[in-house]
Amino acid sequence: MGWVILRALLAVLLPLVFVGVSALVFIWMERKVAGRIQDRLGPTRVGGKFGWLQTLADGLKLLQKEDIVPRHADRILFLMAPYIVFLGSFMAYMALPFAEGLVPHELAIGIFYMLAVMSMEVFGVLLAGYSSGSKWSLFGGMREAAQVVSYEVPMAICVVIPLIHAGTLNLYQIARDQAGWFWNWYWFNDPFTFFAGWVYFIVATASCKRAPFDLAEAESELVAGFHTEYSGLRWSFFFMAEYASMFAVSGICTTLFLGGWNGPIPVCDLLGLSSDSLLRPILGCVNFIAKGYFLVFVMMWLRWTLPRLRIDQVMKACLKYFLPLSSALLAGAAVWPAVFPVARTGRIAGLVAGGLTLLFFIWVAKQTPNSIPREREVGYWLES
Amino acid sequence: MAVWWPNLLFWIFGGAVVVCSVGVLVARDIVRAAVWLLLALGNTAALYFLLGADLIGAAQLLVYVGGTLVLVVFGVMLTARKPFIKLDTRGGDWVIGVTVGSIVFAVLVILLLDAYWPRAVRPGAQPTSLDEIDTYQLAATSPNTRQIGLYLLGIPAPHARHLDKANQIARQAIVQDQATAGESAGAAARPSGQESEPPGDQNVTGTERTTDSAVPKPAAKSQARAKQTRLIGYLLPFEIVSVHFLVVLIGAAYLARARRRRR
Repeated sequence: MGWVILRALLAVLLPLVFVGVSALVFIWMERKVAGRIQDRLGPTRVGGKFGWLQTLADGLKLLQKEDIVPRHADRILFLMAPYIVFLGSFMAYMALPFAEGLVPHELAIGIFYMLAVMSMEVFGVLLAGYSSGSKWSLFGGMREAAQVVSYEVPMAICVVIPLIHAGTLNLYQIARDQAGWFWNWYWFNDPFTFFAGWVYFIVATASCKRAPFDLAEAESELVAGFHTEYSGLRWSFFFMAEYASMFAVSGICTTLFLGGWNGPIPVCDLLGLSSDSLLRPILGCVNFIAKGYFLVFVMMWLRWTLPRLRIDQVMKACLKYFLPLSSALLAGAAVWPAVFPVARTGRIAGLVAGGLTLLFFIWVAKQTPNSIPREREVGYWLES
Repeated sequence: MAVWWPNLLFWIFGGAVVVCSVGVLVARDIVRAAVWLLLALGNTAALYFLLGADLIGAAQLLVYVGGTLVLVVFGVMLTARKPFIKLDTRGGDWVIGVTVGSIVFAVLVILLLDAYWPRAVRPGAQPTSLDEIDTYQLAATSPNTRQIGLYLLGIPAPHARHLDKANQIARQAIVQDQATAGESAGAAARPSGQESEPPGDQNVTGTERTTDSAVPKPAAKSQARAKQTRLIGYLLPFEIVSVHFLVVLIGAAYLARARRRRR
């Protein structure tokens, strides 16, 4: 009986520690990525050449800031809101399979539970916007609630698309099912699932309130949206919740589309490791985290590359573009096994779609640099 | 007393539901009442998870917290007018409220005591009679989802026997046990319709039985009714309700459309 409590505690504490450390890493990564994309260096002073202790310094700064509660704020709701948002993000980690045997709790309804729990975030943001007692926060909260609630629909549809092939909601079983080489991934199951992966990623970025869909915290318009009036550690809770949900949706994308902890190359099988060996879960965990971090990096890349969408553009994109698109992909993916009952046909078609997309990206990448004339400008801050 | 923490958690979550529901009643500010409602529904979801009904718990969170309450708070935040911003219940309102509430509570209690509650099974427990096998096997794999799926398709649990090879093996084991221990005590050959385990029993092995039951035996008629209703597949009503929701959605969008201002 004591084991049960210990297991439960571990199942909570380990993801909590992971979320905390990941938040540190993500904040540093965001600033470095932002810097590099904007042709500057990012933090380089705190902690040596790469500034990796910058986040720690930021955390200390936030800790010792004054805890302000505005006079017109509803005090209890104001204090409660960051915790609801963080709860919504963190509870999703209970069902994420990190590796073989490393699931905090193997739920038979894993993905459904994750979607349900992440919908609690909306309420926290709404409360934060309302209870701050300022019109910027209220507008930010309203916009964010509308956006996230709307984007939950195409997100759920895109999540169902790989589930058609999986036949189960259990994320652990889904990840185990994709063992082997990368053509076992559900992403290449058929062309509709392949495109559903892309659509899911975009829609998940929107549901994390992440640029280019970050109207809720648009600095140029609403000061800071729903978290304008929050200072110090309370604000950092919102931030941590945002990074936690970024990794959570990346984790869902990894598990449903990119094979979970199974790599593109089955390293553990090639090395001939026995199925009991400890290296399997360790390598699987590293693989899963690497994939999740890569997807979060792509989210950051998008943020600093694309301009922000207006709120009406955000809603139009959701209701007029993504919803019909994901419904069409769902219809296609559902009909595909009936039209092509042999599984290999779908897999080959999916790989062909993947290959064509890759060629398209390479073509696009080759287009851009040479066609823009580059002028050497001498600015005020250059010596020569 | 092997496992005490489910009881403790039940009391914690159940007590929280009661406190939060009272908070909804007592709150002066309408947005705070909505937040108390959120907490009450969230704790109800926790109770569902504690019962092992994880699908229902997740659906509760998704539908109520993520959908209904967001809508309520939206509506309340933006449209709260003078009489509703500060909720002040007078004496007369309390009397009416308490009366109606007590009547509804009495009706619910009578219904609950009269209903037939099939015994939920802990995963890992062993069945001890033939008719318990299906419930036990279904509980062992995935307690709730599979059962709901089967009922959705209209395959009632007793008829799902042929889907499980493990059921056959369990059947043979039980038949063997009954054959060898048939003369002694007669406890293994007890008909399945009686709930002979006391309600607070949390034993994992499921082999302890007492001869007298603290739970009143469910009426034979309601039990037969329960077994009969299981034959209906719920998939068609589910689809009809989904189409109904679509119609409601379209109707709401039409009603709320922006009307062009005439010049």
